[in-house]
Amino acid sequence: MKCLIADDAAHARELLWSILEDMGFDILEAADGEEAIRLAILSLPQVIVLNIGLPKKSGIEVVSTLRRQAPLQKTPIIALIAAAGQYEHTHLSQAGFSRVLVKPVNPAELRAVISEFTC
Amino acid sequence: MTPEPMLRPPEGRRGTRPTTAETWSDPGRWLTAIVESSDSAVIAESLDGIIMTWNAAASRIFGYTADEAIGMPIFRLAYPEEEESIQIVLDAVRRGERIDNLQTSRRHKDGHRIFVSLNLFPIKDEAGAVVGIAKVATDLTNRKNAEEIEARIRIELLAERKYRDLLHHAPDAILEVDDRGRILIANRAAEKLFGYEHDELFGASIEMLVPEANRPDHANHRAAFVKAGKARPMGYGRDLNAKRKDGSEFPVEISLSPIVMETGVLVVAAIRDVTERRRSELQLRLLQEDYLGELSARQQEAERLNRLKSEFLASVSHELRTPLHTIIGFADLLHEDTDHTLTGRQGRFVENIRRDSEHLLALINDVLDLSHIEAGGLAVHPRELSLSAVFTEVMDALRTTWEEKALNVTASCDPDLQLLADPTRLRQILTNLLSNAIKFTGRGGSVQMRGTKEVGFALIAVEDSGIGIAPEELSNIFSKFYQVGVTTGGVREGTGLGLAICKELVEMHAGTLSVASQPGVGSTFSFAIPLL
Repeated sequence: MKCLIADDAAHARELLWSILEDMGFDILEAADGEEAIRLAILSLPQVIVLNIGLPKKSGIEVVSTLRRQAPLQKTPIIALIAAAGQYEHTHLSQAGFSRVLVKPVNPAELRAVISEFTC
Repeated sequence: MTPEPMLRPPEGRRGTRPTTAETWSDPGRWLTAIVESSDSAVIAESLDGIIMTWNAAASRIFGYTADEAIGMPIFRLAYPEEEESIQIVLDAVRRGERIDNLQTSRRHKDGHRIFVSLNLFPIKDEAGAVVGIAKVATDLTNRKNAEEIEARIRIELLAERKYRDLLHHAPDAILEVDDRGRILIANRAAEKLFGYEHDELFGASIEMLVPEANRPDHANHRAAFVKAGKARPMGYGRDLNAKRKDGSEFPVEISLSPIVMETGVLVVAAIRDVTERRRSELQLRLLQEDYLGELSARQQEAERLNRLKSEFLASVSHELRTPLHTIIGFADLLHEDTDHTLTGRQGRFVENIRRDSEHLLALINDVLDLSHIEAGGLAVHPRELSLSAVFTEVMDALRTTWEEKALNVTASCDPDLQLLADPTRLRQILTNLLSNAIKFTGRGGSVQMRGTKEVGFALIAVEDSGIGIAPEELSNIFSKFYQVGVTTGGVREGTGLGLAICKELVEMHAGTLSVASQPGVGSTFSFAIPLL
């Protein structure tokens, strides 16, 4: 099972990696929106965790693009947003996200959500 | 002696002596006889003052025979210096006025002065148009004290001259116009203003002084004014132009005043050249526009700087929060990892790292939120939402904190309470209020979130059974960075900004956040949100 994580901050990616490492996924990392799209299409992961604020292509653009790909239409894509941001949860679900989590994300909660989607 | 018929009968028959048969039954003969028998001079003049008939008394009084008089201008009868008074009198009668008992002097054929009393009236045709002037003159020389009359005439002349001089030396151009638009009086200032000689103005149509483009309008205005008959300024605040003899146009201001006479309305107009004033007004207007332009530019600049500030805040916030997210995340992982393997002490240390990192994050979030709101950069996006759903979300999000303290937290909401509010911000407000309530309520206490439907709005309240707020603190409670002494945990938590932000957010929804509290009993925070 593959999991794609995307965040421009290296330490944030390391945190996500640390949270997910024991779940048995092959973890793929992207540092920007374009790389996220490329890796998603090439590897067709079972779950994707996207930070909203990505360079080159934003989280919203990424999810819109991926949802237009047939094999990725049902893939669980989870958004990570900063608190007090200007993104609205409904707005994000409409864009195509399966779930929205607010940073700092609780490790246990993230794992629980991913399990929910992949079992 | 049978008088010679001097009247020209309408048929044009000239002085034939009637036969005895036809004579006294003909009304025409009686008319002729009356005139000829009269003691007073009875004279008919044409409109331009030419003598048309002359009776016997006229010959006696003035010394001219009928043959000499008929065809002569009436002005020949004027005593020197009195020609103008004859003209004035003629003008009046031409307009249709009657003049009764005008005591004045005239000149005999042989040059001496005679004193007469004049009655003048217009001769009208069947249609009522004035076709001539009738004058009846009675000789006063023997009947009155000639000196008396002379003196009076002098006084009248002086008065007349005084008013004439007043008029002609008036600083403003003055015109008198009859109801057909003909100029009857024009003073010197008018001549200068318009560039005409008096004779060119006198009798001319007022339209001559109105630029072609304005003539239709002007004719309407005149008619309306004559009808209204009230004094009025004209051209005040409007662009009214007049035309000089040389064709040049200039802006004017006109004041009008009617003279209502039986025979019609005369209009007196005072006209002022306002070229200079218009120029000043234009300059002022340009200056105003300049200032307004500058003001607008400065406003735009202020807005631009505000936007820049918001953008700066937004980018700064990202930079400040990112490392904190990872710190907190790793502290969480550490906590998980060490829950069972590290000593209680190390566990406590990790917990401290976690707690203060979260505190710092909350502080940054709050400061940025408040700055956003103050910079006007925070917009609320109101949407239709269900209050009970929001209550549930907020309660669930804080569940661990209140379950930890064994608090009884409930939400009660009028069914189908649909609101118009920004979901994120409403959640933020309620999370803040609930979190405060949890913080300040002791173990086993209770917190209730309530939503009740009122007229046009929903009343939302968060009530706790906590330690309450002292009356003297109540007024400061919504101030920035203000924190009440201690929480139940004995720890100074929170950022002190929560209530300040709540207050702003509530106000952005057009509501007011208020608090009621009793120390030792509890507190209730409440606000209103418009209903859908």
